[in-house]
Amino acid sequence: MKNPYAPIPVTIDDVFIENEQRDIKTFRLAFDREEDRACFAYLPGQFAELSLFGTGECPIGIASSPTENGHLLFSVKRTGVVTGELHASAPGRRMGIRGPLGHSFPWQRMEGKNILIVSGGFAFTTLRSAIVYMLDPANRQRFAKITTVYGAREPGELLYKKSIADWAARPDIEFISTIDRQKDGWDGKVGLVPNVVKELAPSAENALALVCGPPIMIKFTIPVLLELGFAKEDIILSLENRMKCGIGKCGRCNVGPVYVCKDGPVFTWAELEKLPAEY
Amino acid sequence: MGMDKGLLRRKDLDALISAMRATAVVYAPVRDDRGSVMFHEVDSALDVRLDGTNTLTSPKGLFFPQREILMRFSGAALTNADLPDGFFVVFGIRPCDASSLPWLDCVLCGGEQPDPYYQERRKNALVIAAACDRPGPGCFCTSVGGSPYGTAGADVLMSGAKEDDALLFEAVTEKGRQLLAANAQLFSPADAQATRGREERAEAARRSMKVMDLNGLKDKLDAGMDSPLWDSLTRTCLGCGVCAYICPACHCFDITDEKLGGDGVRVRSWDSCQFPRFTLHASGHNPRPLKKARMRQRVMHKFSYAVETAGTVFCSGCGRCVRSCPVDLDIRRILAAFKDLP
Amino acid sequence: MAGVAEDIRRLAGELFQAGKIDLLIGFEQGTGSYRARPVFVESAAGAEGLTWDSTCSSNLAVYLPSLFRREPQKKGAERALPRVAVVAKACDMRSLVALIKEKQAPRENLFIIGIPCRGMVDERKLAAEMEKATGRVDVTDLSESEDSICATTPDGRKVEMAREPLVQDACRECRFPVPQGADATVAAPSRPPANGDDGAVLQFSRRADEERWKSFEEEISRCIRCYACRQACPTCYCTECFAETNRPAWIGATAEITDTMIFHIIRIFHQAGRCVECDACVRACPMGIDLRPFAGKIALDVREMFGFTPGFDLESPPPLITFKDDDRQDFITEPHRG
Repeated sequence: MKNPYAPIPVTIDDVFIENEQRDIKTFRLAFDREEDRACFAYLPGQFAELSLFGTGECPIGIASSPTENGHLLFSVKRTGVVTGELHASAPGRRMGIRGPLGHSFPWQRMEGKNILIVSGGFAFTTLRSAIVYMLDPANRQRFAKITTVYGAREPGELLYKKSIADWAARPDIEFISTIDRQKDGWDGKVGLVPNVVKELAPSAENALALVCGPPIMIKFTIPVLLELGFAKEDIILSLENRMKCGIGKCGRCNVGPVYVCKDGPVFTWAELEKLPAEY
Repeated sequence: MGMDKGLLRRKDLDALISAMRATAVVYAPVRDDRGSVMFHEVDSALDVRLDGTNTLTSPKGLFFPQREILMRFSGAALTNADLPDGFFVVFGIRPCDASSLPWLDCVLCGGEQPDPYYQERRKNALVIAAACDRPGPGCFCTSVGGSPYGTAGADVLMSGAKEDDALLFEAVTEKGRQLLAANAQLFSPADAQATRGREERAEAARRSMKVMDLNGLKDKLDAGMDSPLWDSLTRTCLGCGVCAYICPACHCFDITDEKLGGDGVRVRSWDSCQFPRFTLHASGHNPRPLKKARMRQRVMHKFSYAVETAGTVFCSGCGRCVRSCPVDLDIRRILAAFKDLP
Repeated sequence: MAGVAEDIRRLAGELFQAGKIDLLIGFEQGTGSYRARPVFVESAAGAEGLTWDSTCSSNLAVYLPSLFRREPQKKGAERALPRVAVVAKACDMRSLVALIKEKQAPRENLFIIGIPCRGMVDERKLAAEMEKATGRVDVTDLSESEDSICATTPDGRKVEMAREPLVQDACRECRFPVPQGADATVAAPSRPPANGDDGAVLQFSRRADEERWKSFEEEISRCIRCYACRQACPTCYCTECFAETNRPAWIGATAEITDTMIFHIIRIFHQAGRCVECDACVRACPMGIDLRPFAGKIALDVREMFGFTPGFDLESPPPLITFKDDDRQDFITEPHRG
């Protein structure tokens, strides 16, 4: 009997504290069973429900890329009951995941395009997956120029610090980190993400933009992109909403007639604009 | 080798129920000690109420119970809850309630990952609907595409025949035909008179209801998301879950874990979009913080979103939400107000 | 009742015309004209639909806490609190007093229109009578005279019933049918107050512990956790109810019987010294659960232990939020003594 509510068993392999505030941790999960690992075929942009028995589940974007040898990475901010329990968990803890769920970024449309990534705060997680995926030697030639603007309030709040330092040094991706206000010890860009994008003025020619960030960042970034000439269908966003089943049955995460879990979480701005702002 | 239709004398109803009980539990509307008519297990036709006002709650709980265990865990070891087993008959369900079963199927069994518990109950059930000769004043099935003699969701439709001395059984599905054939000895052939009588009764029942013209409602609703009507028409709503829980078409649910020590269960239970916490994010952000947004969601889900995704409104016109609402908030009033918008 | 309705309409019109109120909460004709329903009126024109009859049973005090809830506001653009008129029976009035005392509604923003009461018709009793008389519960119209209620069925038949047997039990046992402390009291007949001997609550309280528990369990087994009781109760106004928190999760979310029993026990205990026995919870329950013996038992205990009946005195502090040095403590040290 196939029970879509039953999670796949995994074990926490490693826990890494991502930020200075210590409320965002990256969990590396290993599948307990090889056959589960082999069939967990996902693409960047998708999410999974992380399951802690006796506590509950939470939907978290997959931060690892499918090109990263079989373990999964999830970066989780401690916010509520399940994330709190997760943060209190150590490597070796057995738990569950359900997934991959939702639609990924529109990889077919992204073939051959220039990819602009705009992100802020800890919404960057699935974009890590996207960047690692695109930069993988097996995939890099499928995409043209890759540009990323990633911002946080302060340097300590940037995720994946080692990775973004590596990316900033690579010739095959333009990676700009920025912080809101000047801080001692930071010699990188300073400025709010939408302003940095405006200043950078990336070309909209043959380009798609992936935008993931807090609502306020999105609100001010979209006009910048539209002004730069990005079409509404070419601005790609990822939504969050309170979820339970994650498979379009419990009725909770809908935005108008679409469910963030099964019809999203990835939507174009053209689609979102027509939906009620109930997310 | 099925049987399409037949006449059963009312006094033989007991025999039919007994025969069905040989292989299935039979649920039928009976009056309980409180005076409410509800679906309960029956062992005879004695207390079965086929006429009268519809049951207090819809029989959706027979397929989609208020509480259902989805899995059990012990430490990190997980076992799926057993599939519900045992055949059952839902006897005397009204066409309005039966018509919502295909909608529940669409959501709960749809997609690539059907809900196995709901699906199994549907598979294990035989639905024998009782046509409605006297729709109540709060009923409005004909305004939402239904009919008091509708067959959607039913395996068999029963209706009064021969001056109410008999019941005409008409098979709607193969399952229904098999049931009639299996009990052929109880039925006599349904003659032309019986069929004509049924048509007349159906027509009379349909005519007894005033029809609201809801053509074009979806477009008005879609254009009216920001209408002040959402505020003015919902101010008296108490924000309880009665309408959603009592509705045959509502199916939103919660999933929670319950544990004692290291053992526990993950359960599915009814939930309602009218509760403020339904959409509350862990961060504290609530996409529907106001009551009017939540009632708007209810109406939009049933009369707009469902039309887009399932091709039908998710309202059977049973009228229970109006009857049972503690403050008599009438969904028909909301529909009419939007329909009348220029 | 027509006179009472006219008086309410006239008073409402005057209040709006004099600019004394922003909002009036009263009753209007409901669906199918067999019962009244709450209505929010914001103008003199809107007041013309106000009505009053024996189906005006909702406790309108329930709407006040959310009207006066203080939300964060922009400095310099603070919203003034609304001036609200409320139509109130005696039980509703007592809820209003409880809310005022608990700072959920400022007295100076309220104009309370008191209506002496003869008792409200119990919808379930009416349905049972209709079922006996006609085989169906459907009613399309209801009219009343001093001693009788006349119901019209969908096919036009008129069923005349004696009024008193149809009145809610809580109303028949009501000890305070005339509101006290209203700003204006409409002239209306009221029923003689019951003397409080031998009502359903007292009878329940006299039963043995095990019997009461069994009765409670049986009654609550019908609960589907719709929270209508909580939402209809004027003194249940917590924006975050213990039943729905998950940090910690005090009770399970489903209709599992032990969780459900605990929900009701805790909710009713939270009403101790605050519940005015208005029966809003009983009427709201879609499953016909009779919560009155349980809520009433708590109210009875508060009367006996603290000599306090809520809803009359704006000054006296509710006993369960006050502490006196000579309060009993033996219930802690010797819990099994009488």
